[in-house]
Amino acid sequence: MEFTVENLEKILSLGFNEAIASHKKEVVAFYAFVFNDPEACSSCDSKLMGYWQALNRNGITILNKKIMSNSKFKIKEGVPFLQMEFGSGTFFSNETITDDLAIEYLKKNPNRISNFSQFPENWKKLTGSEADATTVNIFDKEYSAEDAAQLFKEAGIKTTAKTIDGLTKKFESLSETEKESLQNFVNGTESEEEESAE
Amino acid sequence: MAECINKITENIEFDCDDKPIAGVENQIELINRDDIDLAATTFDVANPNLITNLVLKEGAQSYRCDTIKGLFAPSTVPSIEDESINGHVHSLGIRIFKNSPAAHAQIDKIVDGANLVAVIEAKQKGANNANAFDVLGWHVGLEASADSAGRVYREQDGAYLLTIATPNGYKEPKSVYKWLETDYATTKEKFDNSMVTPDP
Repeated sequence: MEFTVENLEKILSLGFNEAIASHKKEVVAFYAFVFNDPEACSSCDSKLMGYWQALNRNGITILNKKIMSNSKFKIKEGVPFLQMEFGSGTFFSNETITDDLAIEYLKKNPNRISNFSQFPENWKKLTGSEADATTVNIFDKEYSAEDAAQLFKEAGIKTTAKTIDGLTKKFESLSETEKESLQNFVNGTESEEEESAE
Repeated sequence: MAECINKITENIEFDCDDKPIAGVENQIELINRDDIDLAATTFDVANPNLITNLVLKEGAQSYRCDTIKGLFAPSTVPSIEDESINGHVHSLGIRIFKNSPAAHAQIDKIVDGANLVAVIEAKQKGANNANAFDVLGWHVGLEASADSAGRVYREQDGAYLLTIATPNGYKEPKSVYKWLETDYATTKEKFDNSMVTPDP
């Protein structure tokens, strides 16, 4: 069972008796999750009404806040809110953002990622704009993000990219001259490694 | 009085460390106004004349126009009305030296009605170069103006003189937007990269 507002509303709509008869475990689990009570007791019948009343009183409000504060996306400092689309009535801030809202926002234009200071590594996959790659392919050799960034640095190629996607894009955007220079650097490094191995 | 008719709130003092310097640098970026993601572009909370993240739509880019000796002629001039709201008229004179079919194809697109936003880099950049970039035509766009002299083959070394400006009958609500994303280096990198948002 997922701790969603929709699921909690369904359970609360059943009323105490039916909910306890058919969804006792879920009621207790929701109570434990929403009110951070790891010792909530499903076999303590005397406590069930208290759990139920607490969930009815402000369970949905607290659950909403918990879901929002768990968002993997954070809007950049200095940006008070974002608007889904020009003219849209959907606005969200760091207090109200959810992963779903952020993903919907980014699906409209991946360039909007620049409005976030924090986001999951696989945001492109989440928004459907790109399949996940696990390495950066440079001249038919696979590099981890860390190694690729180090290679660029050592070869004198400036970039702020740190992710697989960013570094791959950087490599693809290099001019022919830059690629040639990087190729020479890679060849030189490989020769040195071979010599030292001998 | 409507609340949007503001009173001034700060001194505008002469800054000995930021003396005025005329002119602009030799590169401007022209953006098709329709390519701007207006919802995603952000402005400074304290200063509504400062763009803090200029976001283009997916796949869009700006287009560079180069000159020599700072020969661009940008301007922003107040438009004072007797019976309507005041505003600003933006204008940008561009001297196109290239005489190729490709350059003329772009000139024709502008004359045919392209609606553009121009990003220019001023010579006077302020402390930490924070005031370097100006954005003209944000709200209405810049379009080919009757002030364009075109190409008179024996004059101006044969350059094509094209002026894009706020269309007649329209006004921009702001004298200018400044543009700064984090710092000058970050902003300049994006400017040099056709305004494409770099991958994080």
